[in-house]
Amino acid sequence: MIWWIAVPLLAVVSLLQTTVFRQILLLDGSLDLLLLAVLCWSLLRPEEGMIWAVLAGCFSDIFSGGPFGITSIAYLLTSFCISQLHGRLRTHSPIVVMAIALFGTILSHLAVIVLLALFGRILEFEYVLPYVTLPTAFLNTLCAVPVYLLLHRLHGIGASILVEDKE
Amino acid sequence: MQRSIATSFYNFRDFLSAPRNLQELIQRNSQLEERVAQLEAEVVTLREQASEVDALRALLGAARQLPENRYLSATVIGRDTSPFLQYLILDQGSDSGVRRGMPVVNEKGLVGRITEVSATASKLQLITDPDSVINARIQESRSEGILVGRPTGDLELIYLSQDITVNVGEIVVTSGLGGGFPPEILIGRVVSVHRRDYELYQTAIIEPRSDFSRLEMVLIITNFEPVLIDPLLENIP
Repeated sequence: MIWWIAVPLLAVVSLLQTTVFRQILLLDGSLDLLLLAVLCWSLLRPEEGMIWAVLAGCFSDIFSGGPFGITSIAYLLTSFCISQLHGRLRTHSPIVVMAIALFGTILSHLAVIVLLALFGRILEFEYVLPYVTLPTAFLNTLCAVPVYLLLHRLHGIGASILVEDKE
Repeated sequence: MQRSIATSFYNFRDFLSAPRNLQELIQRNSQLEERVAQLEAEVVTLREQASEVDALRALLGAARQLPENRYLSATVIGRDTSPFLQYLILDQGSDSGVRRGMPVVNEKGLVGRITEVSATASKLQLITDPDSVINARIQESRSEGILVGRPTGDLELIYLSQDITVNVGEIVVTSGLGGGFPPEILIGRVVSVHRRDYELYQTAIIEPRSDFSRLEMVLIITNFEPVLIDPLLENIP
């Protein structure tokens, strides 16, 4: 289930990210659909979330000029933290999904900033936080529920196909 | 009276013939709607082509200013997925002769350099990327410094000598030192100067002439061979 959904879906999403969503800016931030897909799938299937994180990070890094693997590590860390919450969250209400998107984005960006600093690319935190991270977090929070619902439906379809295959 | 009878007759005749005309009208209307949609699509295509021609004309004008260079036009087909990095993806790769290190310009001046190349695409590092370092000079005073990108989209000209006076509005061009870029390519203009007496150097904030968020087409200078000075630096104790 992981591969046949994750690989084509994340490939398409990464193409959309580089061609469309990175052109639509709020200050200097933009919707991070790849991260949203990872966060939502981590909520739906925590055991697969980290695989999605690595795949999404790889697809993202292909279209990025940064050191390869940075996004994967950042997404992996974020997905791990989300998966830890899984047992503690009784429902996946819209508020929960939006809160996960908000804190997931901030956490992921902090991880990328630290990793870039380790590679010698120091970013000005006083610029990055208000102009990049917070606008991105806002856009991700806004779009979290539709993305979650879409993936929830996909998850349902995938699960029913798997049941049919077993029968 | 004759008029009123005639009018009544015409109205009666129209009433009787209306259903047939209605059918014709509906058919004609759908034909016209189809035609309008077709023409609208043509207008969109023509507008797109017109803006492409404008962009190409502007690039051609820039290419004519430095005729000694050979250029290859490329279209921007993607942006860096990370909001912290300033890279673009171009639709020309090694199949078209693009090589790593080639400078990229547009009608307004320097845009960046090619950092990665595949067969049909390449990655362009913008001069505003935080990892970008370019040797530059202020055109009027000929004083040289190092231009570094900032995440804000501005550029910072550092290591400027304290002995010179830098004025707001002065033009900054590439110096050609280090062999990474050809000399005298326009970069931008000075918008502010930071000079403190107790510091060794002064710095200037440079506003690039190009709006990198709206770049659609660029020119790759294909006959410029960047000089690799790294092997020379290895021998320095």
